[in-house]
Amino acid sequence: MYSDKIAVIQFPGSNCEYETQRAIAHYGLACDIVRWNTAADTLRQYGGFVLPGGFSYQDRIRSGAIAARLPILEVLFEANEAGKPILGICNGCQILCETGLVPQSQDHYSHSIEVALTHNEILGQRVGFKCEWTYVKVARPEQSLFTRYFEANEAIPIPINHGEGRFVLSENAAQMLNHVALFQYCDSQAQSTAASNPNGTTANIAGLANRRGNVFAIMPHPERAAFIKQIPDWLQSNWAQTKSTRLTAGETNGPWEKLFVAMRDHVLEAKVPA
Amino acid sequence: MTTITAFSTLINQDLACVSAREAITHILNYPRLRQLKRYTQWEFTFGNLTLPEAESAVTTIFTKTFFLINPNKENYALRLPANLPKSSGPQIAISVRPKSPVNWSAMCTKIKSKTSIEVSSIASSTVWVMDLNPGELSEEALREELTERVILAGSVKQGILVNPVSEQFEWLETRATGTYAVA
Repeated sequence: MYSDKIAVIQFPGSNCEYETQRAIAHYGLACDIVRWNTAADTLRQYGGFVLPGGFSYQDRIRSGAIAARLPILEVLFEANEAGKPILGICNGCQILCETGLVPQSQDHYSHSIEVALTHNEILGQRVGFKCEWTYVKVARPEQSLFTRYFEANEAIPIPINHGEGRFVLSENAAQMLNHVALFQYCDSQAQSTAASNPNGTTANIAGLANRRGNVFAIMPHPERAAFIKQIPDWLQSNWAQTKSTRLTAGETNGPWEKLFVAMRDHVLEAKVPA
Repeated sequence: MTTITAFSTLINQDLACVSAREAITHILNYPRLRQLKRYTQWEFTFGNLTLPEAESAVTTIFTKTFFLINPNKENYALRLPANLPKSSGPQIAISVRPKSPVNWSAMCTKIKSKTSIEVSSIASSTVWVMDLNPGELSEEALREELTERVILAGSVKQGILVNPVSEQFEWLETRATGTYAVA
């Protein structure tokens, strides 16, 4: 029995589930929004999971801290063991970091927390909530099923929308950095510098995979750059420069098509056991 | 140098606290926690003020600037947290702060430009006061158990209040000693 459907998990306080569902569906994958308290047997039938952005439990204690301890996460741990794709966006990324599903430095998932997402802070100075367009590039795209269609050192525009998006790594996690796929903030020329780091995150990290490559946690919002119409005209990017031509030609796909298509292909081709 | 310690807390229901207590008792299944309260602990250092002047300066900063607390929504008290849980059992408090210190110099400049008060430094941390039913456990054993099961989130299965990757905590003296300074 195989499932080719994705579940977008709606936690109390999620607010990006519908646009995430729309992006996934646009790229050819059936997708349901399911609540955090859905029965485990129902959830197990899905071929993959997406944890959308928002403010689950109002970010109480720490962002993602409470959602990461809900019973539904047991289903995600099983899905991780089965190699199913799990994508966490923004608050979903924070939840995945609180579960220890990324980067999983040990051979077997140990539930140990290895990465923290904390307040945006540059040189010790809090810089508050960030809502802006950035660019990211991928390192080691072949290491994750989500990034395998991207090219390394390609500057991809993407918006950020978070107050706690600064990755802090444990020693174990830091040692994994050269072994997992990463998205790193960069400028429009794909250069990762301090100036292109919007929130003081370690090594310009915007997102990272687990060592097996089936789990990806990303702070920026790929679903908000999934369609060409979402790209602002003023961005210094080929996507902005060619936007009107593409729209006139009837094109709809945006810069993050590759991520959603990669997830679709994995679910449809690999046919992960449900 | 004069240092003033102050504590602020929400006037109305602190939902973060409600959720933390729910998570500790019902998700982490820790049975000893009776009540939980959360405060923000502030430490202000002034270079050239006497103690009464410094206390008055802190009051002005809290009530006139709205930079650090919103006095319409938050209470504050000097030295000791206000409205501590009423209980005959032991209360254990911890202070949680980020491992990398926050730079408050821009805030000090803002306070000076609005109030003319010169603050040398500011530090803040989150204080959790736990009202507990210790059973037969000694205080040392209780602290050990709390560290493992409630405080340090080393794993998703244990602890929640402190993320050890980015945060650290200190025990504060228990209520019986009459102060909440660092133990």
